[in-house]
Amino acid sequence: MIRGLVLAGGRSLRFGSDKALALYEGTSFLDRAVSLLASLELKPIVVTRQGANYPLAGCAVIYDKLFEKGPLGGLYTAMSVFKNTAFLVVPCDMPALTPLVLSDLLAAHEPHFGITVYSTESGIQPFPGLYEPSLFEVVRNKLRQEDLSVHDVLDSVPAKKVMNWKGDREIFCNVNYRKDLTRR
Amino acid sequence: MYITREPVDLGKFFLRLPDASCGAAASFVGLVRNHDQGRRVQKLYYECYESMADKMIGILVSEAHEKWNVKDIHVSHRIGPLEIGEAAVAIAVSSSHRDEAFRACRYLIEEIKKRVPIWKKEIFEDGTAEWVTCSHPVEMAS
Repeated sequence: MIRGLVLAGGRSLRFGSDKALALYEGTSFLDRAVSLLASLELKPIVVTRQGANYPLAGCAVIYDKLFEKGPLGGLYTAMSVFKNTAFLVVPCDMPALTPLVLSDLLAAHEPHFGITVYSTESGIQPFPGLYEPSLFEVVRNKLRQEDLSVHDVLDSVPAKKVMNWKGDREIFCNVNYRKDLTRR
Repeated sequence: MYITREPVDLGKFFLRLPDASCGAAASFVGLVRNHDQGRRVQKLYYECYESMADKMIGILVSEAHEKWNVKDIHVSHRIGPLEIGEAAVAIAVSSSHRDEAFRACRYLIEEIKKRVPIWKKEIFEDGTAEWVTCSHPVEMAS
């Protein structure tokens, strides 16, 4: 079973306010990410930090089990709550992603690959990515070692599918600052 | 709205008569071609976050108005699946004199290709498919 997972646990320090709730043309980043996954019928789950209160309907919300462990901590929480579930993981701050880009990942993925992701000229893009439940131990061990790098998880998984992205790299850009929005 | 999922009706698009003060109307149509870097293209998909792309085209239209003394600017960019020969983007600019209209029209298509977050996926006749960059010139119709 594959479900959609939105990573929305960041504190948005660089952005200056809760990025997940920032509106772009009337839609929040979080709603945009959830509806992207819902459009692919992936039953979205949002993983966020303890204490966050998001006005979401029609999707599950879970809270980080580990304090401030970044995207890897969010993935760990989801994997420990929803066992035997693979996740198509999308950060809430990548608004330029589109359904076809995600459905191509789904179409390319096979369960014997632990991970399916895109790669650009600048290297592997961890997100959006498909992560199998078989990665749980790898993720947990990295967190135990205080290694929060998703790239290190990717490096330690030999069976992964990397799709070569020859299109515009801007699609993978995160919005980190308010100025990232004004140039849009 | 500059982004559309419907076919661009070029007849209607270019039938709009410019203001009587205009002595020039320049236009551009980007078409889906049947080849790319030696490979036969069967069709393609354009995809985007519509409100984001729409807003960016609006910014470019404003920029063109600021840079040149043009009267009207119309832009329509199609997304979704497109067949060979269909219009992907249409631009029409009217102005008092031809130089401004040509320059603004050229500016708009180049900047749309560079700055508007629309993603292109080509489906080739051999059954393979690839996401490709939009940042290169497309065929010009006029």
